[in-house]
Amino acid sequence: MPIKNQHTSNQQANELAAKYPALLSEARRISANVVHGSHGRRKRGSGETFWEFRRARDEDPASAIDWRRSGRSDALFVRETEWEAANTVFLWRDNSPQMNWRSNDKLPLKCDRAAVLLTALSIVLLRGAERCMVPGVSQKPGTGIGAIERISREIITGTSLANSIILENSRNHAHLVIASDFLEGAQIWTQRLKRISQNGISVILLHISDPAEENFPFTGHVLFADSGNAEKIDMGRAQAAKTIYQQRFKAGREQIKAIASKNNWHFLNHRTDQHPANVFLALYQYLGVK
Amino acid sequence: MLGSLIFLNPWSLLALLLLPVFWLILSALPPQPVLQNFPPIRYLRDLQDKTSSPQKIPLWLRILRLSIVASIILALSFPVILPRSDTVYDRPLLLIIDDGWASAANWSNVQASAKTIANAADLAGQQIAIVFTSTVQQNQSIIFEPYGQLLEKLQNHKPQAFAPNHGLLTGILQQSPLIKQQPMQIVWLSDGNDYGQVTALLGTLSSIGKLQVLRDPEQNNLRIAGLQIEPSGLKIRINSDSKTTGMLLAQDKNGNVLQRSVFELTSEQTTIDVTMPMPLELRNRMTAVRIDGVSSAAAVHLLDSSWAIPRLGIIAGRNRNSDQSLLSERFYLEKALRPFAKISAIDQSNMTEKLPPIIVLLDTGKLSDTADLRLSEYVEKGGLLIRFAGPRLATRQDDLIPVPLRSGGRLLGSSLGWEQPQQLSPFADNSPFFGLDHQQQINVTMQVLADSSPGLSDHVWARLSDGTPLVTSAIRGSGRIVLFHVTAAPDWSQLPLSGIFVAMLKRILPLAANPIVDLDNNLNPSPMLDLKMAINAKGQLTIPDGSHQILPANAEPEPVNATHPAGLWSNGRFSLARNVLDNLEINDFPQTSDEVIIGNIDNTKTIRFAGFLLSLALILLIIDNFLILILSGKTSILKRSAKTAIILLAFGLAGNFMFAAKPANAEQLDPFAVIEQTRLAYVAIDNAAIDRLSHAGLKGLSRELYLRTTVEPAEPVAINLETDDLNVILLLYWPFLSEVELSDAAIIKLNTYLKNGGMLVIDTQDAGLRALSAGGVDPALKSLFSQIDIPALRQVPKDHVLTRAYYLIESFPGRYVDAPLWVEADRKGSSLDGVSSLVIGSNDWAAAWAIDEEGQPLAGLSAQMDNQREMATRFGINLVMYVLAGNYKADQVHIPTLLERLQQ
Repeated sequence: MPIKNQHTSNQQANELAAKYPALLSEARRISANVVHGSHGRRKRGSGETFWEFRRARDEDPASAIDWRRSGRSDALFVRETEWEAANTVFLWRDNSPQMNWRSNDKLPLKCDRAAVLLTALSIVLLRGAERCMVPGVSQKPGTGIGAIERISREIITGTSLANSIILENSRNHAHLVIASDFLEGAQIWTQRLKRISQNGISVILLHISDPAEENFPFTGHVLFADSGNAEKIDMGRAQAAKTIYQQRFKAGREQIKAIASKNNWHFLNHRTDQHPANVFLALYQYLGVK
Repeated sequence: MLGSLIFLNPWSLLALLLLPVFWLILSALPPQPVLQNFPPIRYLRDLQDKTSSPQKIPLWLRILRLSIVASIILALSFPVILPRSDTVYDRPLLLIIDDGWASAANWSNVQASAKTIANAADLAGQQIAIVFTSTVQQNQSIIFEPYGQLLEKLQNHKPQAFAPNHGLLTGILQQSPLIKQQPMQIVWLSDGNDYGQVTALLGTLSSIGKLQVLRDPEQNNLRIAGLQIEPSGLKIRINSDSKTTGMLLAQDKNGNVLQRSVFELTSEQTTIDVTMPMPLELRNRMTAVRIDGVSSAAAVHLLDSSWAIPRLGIIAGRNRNSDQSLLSERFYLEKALRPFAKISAIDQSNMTEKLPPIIVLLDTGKLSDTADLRLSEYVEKGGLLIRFAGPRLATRQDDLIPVPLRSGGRLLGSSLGWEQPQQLSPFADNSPFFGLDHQQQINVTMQVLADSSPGLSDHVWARLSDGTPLVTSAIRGSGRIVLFHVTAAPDWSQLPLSGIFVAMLKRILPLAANPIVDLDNNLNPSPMLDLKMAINAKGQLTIPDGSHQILPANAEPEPVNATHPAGLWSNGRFSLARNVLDNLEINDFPQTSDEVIIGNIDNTKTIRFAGFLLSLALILLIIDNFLILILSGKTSILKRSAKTAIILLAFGLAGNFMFAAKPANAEQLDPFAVIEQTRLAYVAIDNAAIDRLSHAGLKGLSRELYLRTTVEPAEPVAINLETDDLNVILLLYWPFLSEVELSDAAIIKLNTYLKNGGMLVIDTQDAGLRALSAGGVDPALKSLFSQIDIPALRQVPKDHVLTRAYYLIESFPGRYVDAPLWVEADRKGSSLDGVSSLVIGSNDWAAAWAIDEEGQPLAGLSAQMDNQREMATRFGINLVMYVLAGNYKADQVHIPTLLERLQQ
């Protein structure tokens, strides 16, 4: 069993690695749409953007004095810049077998779409001098353009388990983006996110779903199976289950949404047949507002 | 008209009882579920019971499947619909079928109709007897046969290529014990023709029982009723019972069509004479006339040896003008007869060999006794002897003449006589020359005169305008003697010089083919003929099956029959064509009494359903499969397979086009491409690099021509000397690097090309090497010169047209400069317009002209002179101008002299 597991995970890693260039380039394409940059903290601090000139104080070193400004008057001025702090953004992608599914060859796998979105996000963030990290995979957070390659690879090829969302190095201003289909149900997820909610981290739950999961287009005699477990459900007339299923699916999503709103987190919904740019902009905005 | 539906295999209908079982099975077997991977399966739990309500095949699908099964079962029971039949069969049936030549074209209709009638009678429980009118035998008895055996007999019977023998049948019926026993019901499937005995047969049949005569309304008896020789061709009589159009084909013995004529028969006009113009040469090759597309023995008319080229022997005496062959009689005769006869000379001292059917005896004087005897015997036995008068006959007559002659010739129009040279008078209508143009000038100045005796005029075929005979003829034994009262050379008259001489001889020659024409048959023992080639009922020529008997050539003319069937009869020397309608009297069907029912046969075919039902089942099965795919949501498979099908189809089509297009750019030279636009050409040799350079060189030259002159050549062409047609080539550039072996055909082609004004530019391309060697004739060229006709050559003189055809040039550079240029020594040129057909050099011009795709020069030059490439181009342009414009610039040769004179 372990051998098999290892084999499958190796195989999976290989498959994931094979997809890496394509997904990365897609992520780059999407991220190119966003004008990025460090976001000011609206207070003095270390940064590059000018914030204010203030009278030099005694403790200021001579090198801090802005001589050009000081030359225009008798007093000495120090040039203050806005405090620009880098956020750490944790990007976590659900790698459960359910994510590795699509209803139609023309649609991307759910996990691929999640990887694309998160990678695009990481590219933008790293360009904007933020710190990114993949919980459970990254040894240390990445900063700067140089880390794009590493973080992207870790997002796309990394296989972190759901209970590995343990955020070390987490600070108050840290963000966590969770891309998943949340099909395990609200209860399990409440459990998982409990500790994180206590940390006061800002979390974005990105709910990714396949259109077939929402529309339930099946008719006739269908034997439903799930690659994650051995469960099989034989339905004589699948169309009869449509209404109830849709209600349940919606309710499940609402419950996840409820978790988000309870903790004052954000909830985003994305279907794989939609263009990823919309949800990507929303993601970026949520991260940028704070 | 549809009649009853019956099942040939009714027992399989029992399987229909199983249909309810199928219904139950179909209901019990739900379709296989579709396996669907679905992650949110959690939400589907406990919905199972709700949705697994009896999943059944939809009703319409079940009906569809049941109908598949039902159609297969029905198909296996072989349902057929038989044509409707009005007749009530309450007596034994006698079925009489005309299976003669007229029934062949529509035999399948007759067969089907006979089967229908027999079937109906059999269903009514009646016994059936069947008799075919053509194949009826003298001692045949009429018996009832079991239905199956009868059907088989009907199925296997083939129509015959001769007429039904109604008379014989009448006799047999009158004596048949079967007929006498009981009244019968008689159905006669007639071909609608009366061959003379129908009335008798009708009478007999009416006395036997209830008679019904049925005809096929589609049958039109389209036939060739006769064939006649006309001076200009053939007159062919065509008969038909209904209006029709068609085409007559004249064929030779291999079936090749020599001539066609279209004919049209309207509904009023049932007989038409089609005139088929046919030159004698073609007529001699013709073996049959045929109506195209009609498979009937009557649509074929065979021709026998009376049409073939006759063999002809000439016995010539010692020539009077022995040293002047153009004045010899034999010369004129051979000229006149050559196209129409196979002429051989006969040595009069040695006449033991077999003699040809026609012998021409010139004015030989006294023959040797043996020869004389041999000739008499020959004529007696059926030979045709054509004689020409002359001084020797005039002085001394023998007995091989048609009419007695006065001794001594008659001189007309001489300087001392007052009679004018005589012309022909019109030909009498009993003369074989009747219809020929008599108004041609023949100016008879001398003739031998026939002794006037009673009955002379019967022997005269042509007279002069004063009434004296010019051509006389008489039957001798079984043969014939024809005498021209003038010589065969133009010393007595201008007859041998005129066209009418040929025309008269042409009329005489066919007489030999059938020597016993007009002859008394009793005199000679007739040859026996055997059938070499038979005409079958479908009008095809076949090998005889051996059931015929040999035929005496002088047999009574009788219609063809089973013992002497239609076809080509021959004894090796003499052949006789017997055609189906020869000597056959065909009348319309006589009026019948009211009791006889005259009707049309019912052509309604039996309709069989098995095939249709099986295809229906197959189609339903395919529909069912598609429906299953759609029902199980696997439409993507459908789409994909549809796409694949379209792609495959597209590829198939494209492939077709590609393969179809391939021959167009195959290597064979297309003469039209060369004619359409001026193209320079080069000889492709085995060396691909040289070929490329030749092509590039001529392309470069073409481009310069296009830029500088009004010559606008298209892409150059490569020539394969062995296969391509050279006639359309303007200028042929030949990079001549090594010895060549040309086939005889190629040599002939090349020689013809050079003679007809083509130009061959031979470039040995080795001036660079020759500078090192001692010069002399190139060994490779030597090999070529030994194969093609090369006129005397010389180096180009200073004032040659090549130096001034367009540009004024002094040398002829290519890649090299120094090598001499050779042209024909004869200034006027051996061929046309003073243009040398050969230009031979070794300066490698192609290299100097060659350009690449961008127009840049390809090869480096020896740089022995300034502007070498430009000069090479100028030489090339001069060369093409020289070919095209000829020597007109040669005038400039005289310009210096003219200018000098003007100055004076």
